[in-house]
Amino acid sequence: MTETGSASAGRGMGRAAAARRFLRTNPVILGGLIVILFFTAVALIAPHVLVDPVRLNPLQRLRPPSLDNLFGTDQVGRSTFSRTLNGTAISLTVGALVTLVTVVFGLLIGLSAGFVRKLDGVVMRIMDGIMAIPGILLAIALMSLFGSSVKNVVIAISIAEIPRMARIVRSSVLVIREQTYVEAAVTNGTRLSRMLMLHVLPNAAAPVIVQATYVFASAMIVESILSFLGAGTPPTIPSWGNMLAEARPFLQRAPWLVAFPGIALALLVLTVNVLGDALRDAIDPRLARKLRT
Amino acid sequence: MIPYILRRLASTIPVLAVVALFVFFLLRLTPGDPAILIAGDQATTAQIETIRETLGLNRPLVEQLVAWAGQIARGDLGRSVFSDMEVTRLIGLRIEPTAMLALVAIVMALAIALPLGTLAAIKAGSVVDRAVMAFAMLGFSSPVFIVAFFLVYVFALGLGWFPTQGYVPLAQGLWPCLNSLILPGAALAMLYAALLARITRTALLEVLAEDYVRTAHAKGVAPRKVVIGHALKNAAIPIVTVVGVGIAALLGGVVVTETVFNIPGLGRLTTDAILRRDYPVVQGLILVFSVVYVVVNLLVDLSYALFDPRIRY
Repeated sequence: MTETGSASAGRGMGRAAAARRFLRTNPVILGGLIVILFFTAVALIAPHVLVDPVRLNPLQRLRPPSLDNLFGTDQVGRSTFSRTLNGTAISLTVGALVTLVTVVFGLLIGLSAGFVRKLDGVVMRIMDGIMAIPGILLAIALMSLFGSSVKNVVIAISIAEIPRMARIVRSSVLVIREQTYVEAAVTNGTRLSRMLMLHVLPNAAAPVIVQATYVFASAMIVESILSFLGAGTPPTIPSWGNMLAEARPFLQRAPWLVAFPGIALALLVLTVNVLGDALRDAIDPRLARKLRT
Repeated sequence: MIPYILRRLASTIPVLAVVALFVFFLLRLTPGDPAILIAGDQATTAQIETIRETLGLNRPLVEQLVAWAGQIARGDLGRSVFSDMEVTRLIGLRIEPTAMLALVAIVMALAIALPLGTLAAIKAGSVVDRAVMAFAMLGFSSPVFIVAFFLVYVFALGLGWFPTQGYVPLAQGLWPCLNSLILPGAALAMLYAALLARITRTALLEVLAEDYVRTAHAKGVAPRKVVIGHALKNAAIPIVTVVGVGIAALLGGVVVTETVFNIPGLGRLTTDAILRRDYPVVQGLILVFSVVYVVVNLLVDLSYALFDPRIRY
């Protein structure tokens, strides 16, 4: 009992130290994580300290940025500062949930296709078919049927993202399956669940993690596009896409209405993409071409 | 060559069949009555009944599926619920602006990405390289409508060089048409150019490390000729592959760009159809966009032989 306890504690400490060393040698990854943590903190704190993002103030319409209204106000006098900061939560939530759903289903589908040869042909043809539909188009079509809500946005974007993830998982499984140590494990009668945990998942982890960062970034972009087109989060929610859609007629009179949510979105997506690239280079430089092409 | 083309053509059939099935089941398997879904909240029972009747939603699922397959095989995509026009005719009327926009965007993207990617590869590790890659990263991360807003604010509202929105049909002259597409084309080209600049750099870097490039240099071939004649030609295959794959992003971007710039093309038709719950039109558009994607990638596959004579099908 004590032995296993101390062993796992030792391994845990080893991992923490390894993580610290990894971050020290990869300052870009550290920086990216810090920026994302900063956005997360903003998302958590904003609703509690800022004025209500949906409170109207008809006397303060379309005011340019000033000390009173840091980011100015919109056409019905709402605070753009509060709306922009509160919008962070929507983008991060959608990004994180889509990534989670995509990874889980991508693993399930990819592993089954990779291991069960009978399923492989059928499952991968279905994935190819879904991949032939441009992602944004598929997501708006799904939204038109599901109706607008954050949950449906997550489902719609995930359906468009899962096939690529499944394909990446499957191709790592196909490589791993032929390795001698896996053959040895099979001969030894290792149970499938144990083999997955011990051999397959650790080897598939690198490409999956890298792809997950791109899914995160792309999900935030697609969410904003859906909301911008009026097929995303309900218009009452101050998401960046909704703000940009409402700001469109005021581009000339009140450019700040477009600028702040636009910059926030681009900055967050940029950070996640830079993080993804840095992770890819750190984990496996050879992956670069496989994933991008 | 011909057997290969036939085999490759045949391989697109299952993909398109899956797309068609997917589109078919999408409407039928969505929770709720599809007829009510299309008719909207304010529809009367009679209206809902008419929709159910015209789309055949009251018949058994298998019968609907057979009818749908027969329809597609005949190139019939049904009729719009909203305007009662044939979907194929509706699409035909809107194809010109989209084709022109996509063409302008592809040309712009190639004109930006190939020189920049080449420059970055030749000067790998330098300030120029980093600047190009940073630009690509930015283009890769900026949603198309934000780029569009920025371009409109600076070049249309600020400098007044281009119209803020609208499309001038080709029939009114090539130049007015192109002029109306420069801003939307640039906005749409951004993501595509970023993808292409990155792959150009990567592919070229790999080729530049090859022995035959060193040999060419040693023989005293002019550096420009080495890059263009020897290296770029050999880097072409990964680049055209990304041209094909990137078409998906381009087609998705078309929907957004046409909405921002008020261009009456297939993208606008898509958003309009979705907001009106005109499902037969949505269905037809998804099919058409997917066929374009599949055909472009088929052409990309076949083009490999052009770039590398060793490839014989």
